Amino acid sequence: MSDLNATCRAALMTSINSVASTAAHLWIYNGTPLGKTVAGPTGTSASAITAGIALGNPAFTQGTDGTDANTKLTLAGVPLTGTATCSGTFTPTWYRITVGSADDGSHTLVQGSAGVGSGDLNFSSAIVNGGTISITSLTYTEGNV
Amino acid sequence: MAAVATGVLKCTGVAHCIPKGLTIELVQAIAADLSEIADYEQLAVKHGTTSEHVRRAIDYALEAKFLGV
Repeated sequence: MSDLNATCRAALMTSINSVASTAAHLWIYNGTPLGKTVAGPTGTSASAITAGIALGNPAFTQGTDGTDANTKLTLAGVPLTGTATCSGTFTPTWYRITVGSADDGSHTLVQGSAGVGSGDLNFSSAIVNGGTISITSLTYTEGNV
Repeated sequence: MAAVATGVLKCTGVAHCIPKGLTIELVQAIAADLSEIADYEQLAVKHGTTSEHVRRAIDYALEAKFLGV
C-alpha cells in the first residue's frame, strides 16, 4: 500500500462526495455480493427495498480524520428511511450506493458488506417486510490516514 | 505499469428496521418506560397504541439492544 498525500486524500474524498451528491441511492441486498459492474439483484428475496433509499444532496458532510481535513465522509440527513419491500424476514449481506436511481451495474459508486450485528453497514435486527429501514449512520474514511 | 493501491476506503455504518406500525421514537419511549410500567396495557394507553404494538416494540427493543437483559 502506498502512502497518500493528505491534500490528495482530501481531493479524493471530496470527489466521492461530489459524485454521490447526484441523486445517489443506497440499496440493500441479500446473497453473495455481485461485482460492481453487475446490476443489482431483483426480487423480494434478494433486494430489501425495490426503489432503494435516496441520499441527500450533498450526500455526505466532510470532516477531519486524524490530522487530515476533509477526509472523513459522514452520511448527511440521517436517519434516511425507506419502507422494506422484501419477502418475510430478510437478512442483509451487502449494500451498494449508486449514482442516480438505477442499479444497473453502470452506476455503482461504492459497495460493501452488511449484516445483522456485523458488516460495514451493521443492522441491529433483520429486515421485515413493511418495516421502516432506517440508516442512522454511514461513515467513510480513507484507510491510509 | 503496475497498479498502485493508494489505500482502502473504510466504512462504518449503523442501520435498523423498525417493524410495520412502529416508529423508532415509540420503541425508544416504550423501552424507557418499561422499568416503571411493566403492564403492556398501561404502556399502550400511555403511548396511545395497542398492547400488541407494545409487545412488538419491546421485542424489537430487545433484538436491537435498546434494552438490556
